[in-house]
Amino acid sequence: MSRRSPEGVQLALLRGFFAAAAEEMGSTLMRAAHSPNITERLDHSCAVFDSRARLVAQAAHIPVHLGSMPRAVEAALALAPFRPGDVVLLNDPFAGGTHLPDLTLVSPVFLGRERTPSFFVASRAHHADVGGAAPGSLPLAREIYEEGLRIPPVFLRRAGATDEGLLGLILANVRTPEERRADLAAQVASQRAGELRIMDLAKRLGAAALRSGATALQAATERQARAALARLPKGRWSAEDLLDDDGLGTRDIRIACTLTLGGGRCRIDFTESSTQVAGPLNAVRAVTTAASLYAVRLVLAEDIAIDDGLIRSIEVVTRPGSVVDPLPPSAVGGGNVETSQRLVDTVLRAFAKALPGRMPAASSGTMNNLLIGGVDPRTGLPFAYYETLGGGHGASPDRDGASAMQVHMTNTRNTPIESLEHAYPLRVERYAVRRGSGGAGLQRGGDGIERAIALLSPARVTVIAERRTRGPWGLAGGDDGAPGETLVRSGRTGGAARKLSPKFTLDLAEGTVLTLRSPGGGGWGRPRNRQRRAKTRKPTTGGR
Amino acid sequence: MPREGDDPARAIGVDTGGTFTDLVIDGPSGRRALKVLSTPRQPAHAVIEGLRLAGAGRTTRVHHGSTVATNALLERKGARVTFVTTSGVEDVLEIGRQQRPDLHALVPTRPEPLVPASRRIGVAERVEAGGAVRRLLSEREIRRVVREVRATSPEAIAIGLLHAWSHPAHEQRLAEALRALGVPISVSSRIAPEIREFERFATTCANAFLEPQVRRYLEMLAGQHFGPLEVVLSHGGTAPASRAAGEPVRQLLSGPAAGLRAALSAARACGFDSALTLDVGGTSTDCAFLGGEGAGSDGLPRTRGREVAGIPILLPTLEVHTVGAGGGSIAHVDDQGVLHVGPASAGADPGPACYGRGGPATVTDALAVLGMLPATGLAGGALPIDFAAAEQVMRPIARALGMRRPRDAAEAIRTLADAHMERALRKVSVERGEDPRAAALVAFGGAGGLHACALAESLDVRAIVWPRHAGVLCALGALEGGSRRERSQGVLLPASEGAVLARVLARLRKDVAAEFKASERSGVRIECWAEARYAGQAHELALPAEPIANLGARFHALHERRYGFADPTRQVVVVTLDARGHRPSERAEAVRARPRLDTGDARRRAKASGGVHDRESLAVGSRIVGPALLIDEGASCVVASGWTAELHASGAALLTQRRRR
Repeated sequence: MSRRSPEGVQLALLRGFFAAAAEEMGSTLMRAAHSPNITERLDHSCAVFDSRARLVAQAAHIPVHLGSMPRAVEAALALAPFRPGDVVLLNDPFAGGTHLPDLTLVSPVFLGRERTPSFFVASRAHHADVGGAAPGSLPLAREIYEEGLRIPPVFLRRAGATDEGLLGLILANVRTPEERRADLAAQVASQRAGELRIMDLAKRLGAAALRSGATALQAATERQARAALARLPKGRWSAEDLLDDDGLGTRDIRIACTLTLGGGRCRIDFTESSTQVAGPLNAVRAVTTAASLYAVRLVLAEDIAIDDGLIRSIEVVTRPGSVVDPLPPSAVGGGNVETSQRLVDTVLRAFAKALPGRMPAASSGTMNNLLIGGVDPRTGLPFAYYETLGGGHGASPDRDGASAMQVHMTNTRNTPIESLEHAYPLRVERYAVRRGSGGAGLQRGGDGIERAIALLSPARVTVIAERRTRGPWGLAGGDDGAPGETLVRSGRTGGAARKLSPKFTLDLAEGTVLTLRSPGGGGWGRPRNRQRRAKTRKPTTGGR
Repeated sequence: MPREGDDPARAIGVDTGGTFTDLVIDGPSGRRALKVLSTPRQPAHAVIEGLRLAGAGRTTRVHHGSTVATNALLERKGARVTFVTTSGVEDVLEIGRQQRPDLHALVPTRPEPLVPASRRIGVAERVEAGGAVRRLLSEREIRRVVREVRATSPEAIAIGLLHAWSHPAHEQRLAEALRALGVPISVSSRIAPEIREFERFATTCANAFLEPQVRRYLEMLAGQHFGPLEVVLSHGGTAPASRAAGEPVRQLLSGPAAGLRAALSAARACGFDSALTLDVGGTSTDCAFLGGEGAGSDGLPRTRGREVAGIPILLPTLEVHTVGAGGGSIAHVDDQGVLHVGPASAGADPGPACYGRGGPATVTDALAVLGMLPATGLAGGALPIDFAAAEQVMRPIARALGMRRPRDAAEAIRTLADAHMERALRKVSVERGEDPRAAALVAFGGAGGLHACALAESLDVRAIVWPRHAGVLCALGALEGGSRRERSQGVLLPASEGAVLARVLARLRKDVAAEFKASERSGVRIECWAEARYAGQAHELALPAEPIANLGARFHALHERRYGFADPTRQVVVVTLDARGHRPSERAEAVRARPRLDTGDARRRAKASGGVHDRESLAVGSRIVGPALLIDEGASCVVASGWTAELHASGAALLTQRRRR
């Protein structure tokens, strides 16, 4: 690479180099990790930051990690000064984390002989269990203490040596310690890969060029983001949506936002949202920011890089003590996985008012979190299974919504039936598209999923799901999608299925069949216009 | 054209590409290359025309790398398939892994499954993970399924049941009964006996979808009265057309595979054990690391589950990384003044601006402006170059970037294209724990040689091999790859279960041997590989299966080298066993043993500096000091300043960097 190349070329090159470093971290983590959560479901992200904890490049599989990782690096900065080979670990949602199962590592990167690091690399992975009241660490908790082990920023490694005492303390507090040890080792390997790549780049391009390049990249992204925002209409729009409940009796939790656009600025104000709740549906501010950024980037629909330039062009306002910016020691496990979805729905609903005729109807809006734990009778060992279920996507003005696919804040893969039955005392009885669950409309909402699982041994089951009382909203006259359902049928009596609440933790007997039906997407436009159109031409999409 | 009375060619390798159909001919007077324009609508036309021009006769063996299967899948033009599966999971084909392909799409979409819901038929049967039959498959149910399948009037049938990868009895009984319908049947436990139902079902349905069309195509070629027809499969070896026709999913990734085999031979002939390959085509660049730790003794790294046209193919294929940057990649400057190259491509029509058909600014145009293309044109002169048009399209890009000369813009485009390629090269080398510095960079494809020096410098690779026939290397590989059959079986057993693993291996060996003709079997070498992981991991490492006794210990050591840690207390699980049979192509060996470039009075043993050199005119040992340009049939290679090229006895140009001061 020539150092004389003008900025436009230089930036494109640097963008690729930094992104490659983050991607290399991700591929190292994925290949070396042990738990299906990381290796099969890809519930992890890796990123590069500058010396002031500003994001430079990210390899993200999971949108909820977008925009929430800088908080982790900021929190780790409190431990300065650093030495080469240091690795900081944290998961505290009130100090840089999101929810407890997400363990984040942050390492300084020293270039040449410098005294303070020029860059940081970070990796975040969802660990299958971090202790607490129920397997999988997403219980119906009232306080964060029930959700698992809370780790403020601490040195997991100091100058290249692991703090075995700390590691031992952590492993003594989780249900599957060997898997945690292996996954953490994989995360450390990933950190090292990122560190080496940045150091290698500094050798090729010069440390100073790398530092100023990172700053220039962020500035270029901000210019692009602001230019794209300036093309949106100017004005102020409010929208709200509701969460079913917090699992502990509080219903209809309000998420409200006011979107202000104009002059290349975008402000999203959640002040009017409900006060924090007793159950684990509180979303820490990092999650709220991540959901907002994700939603705005969907709307901009441009290939805008994800770095600090994008983050700082979007202003997110929250009220401390609210459900979207809770105070410790509130429980937050479901905020990351469920409230985050509703946050996206609410912001997109505000954009639907700003851009009439351009936005799709609501998608299923829940991850349908299912956690099953117990002892596998085949081996006598404990097991912890975690899975999320996709649903129907909202219809858009020009096409039907996609069916049976992950929506918005997650994009994890399923666990194959054959692998699942091999690994756990469970049997999948049915895995199907939930036909007819999408909302009717000129364009139809996508259908949800139905998945029925039989327990082959007694197990503790937690479900944290949403959109059980109201289906995802339709738009422009389209019908709402069908709400989701969770049913349980006892194996012994072979009796009728019983409908369960949206969120629960229950001890269920061997032979019980648990059925999850995820919501369909909302429809777009009046249903009768579809019939009218059907007479004149073929529908835009088939697939049914 | 062959003259009257000429002997026909002994063997011909023919490879169908998007723009050209390439041929390498072992004729009576030695080996030569030929390019004819492809006929994408009717690929057989170009193949037959090429074979005629090449002098193919009734005794000529034809080795064909075909894109018919791949294109049929891309265009979704295949048979009307009915899919028979376990009742309750008929929609697995549609749900896939639940992922949306584009994380940030406001309205996400994904490809439709190959078989719609109305032709997916559930069967009342169920086998459990351990093989216990939970629900028996009754004769009455089989009769009902046959009736239902008949009612859908299928052109092909796919069968995929849960857990059939390890317990295939129910699938086999259904297949037996469905044979009465007289259409081709693809059975999942036969096509891809591996765990993971979605990928196995999708692969099986793809096979059924492609079979009728691929069979017709191959039968038509076989009917042209040339000699025996062999088809290149995704592992880069060949199988007789009659066998290849029944398993078209095995040829979906044959394109790059044959080229890789030839690339590794070229590197080995020059004395390198490992090779980093750079195959630059029109729309994309393929990279691979050969001869590394994860590769078989044939030096080629395998992977499985690669997607083709949105369908995961659960069969071992060669591990190639592709980036959307090639000669035709379009360059543009966005409104923030940032330059982009690719992934959009100018394709073959209109092609780059310098093709003179009004195309956009591309990487090829940048190279033209930088004086890196032969003035005589591309593809041996078949495609003349409009240098003025190339310069013309560089002007607006230079302006947008604040540069004065078109040449500066061209330099910037080349630098950025190189960066994309470098990223791909890193992905297959350092990111896999393979050290590129000891390897040779083997550059091929029409434009691989044009990017090689800059990339070698970035990656700290000391030597570049630009093989003879670099522009038609896939056709050469088809000719030389030898005859190969592979069979694999998912096992999912602890490495300590040596006796069971040995039994599975013995069966696989027997199956592979049986796929060769009885007369050929004596020359067949079979080697066995295992893919293993720690219990709970989802990504496997490949290692030789034998000796099975120390498989676990070898796995720990490999894991340590690859990822920097190992856990000897943890159980090692063998996920898949592979048996790979290979019978070298005798004639290819013979031709290689008779070097063609060692005499040549007409050629100069040159020691030149600069200039443009036709490789055919150089004698072995000639040295060309860069900057200079080497050209060959359908390909060219830049010898950058600081580099020296030497013509190696194998016919390759070996480029090395002079010591840096």
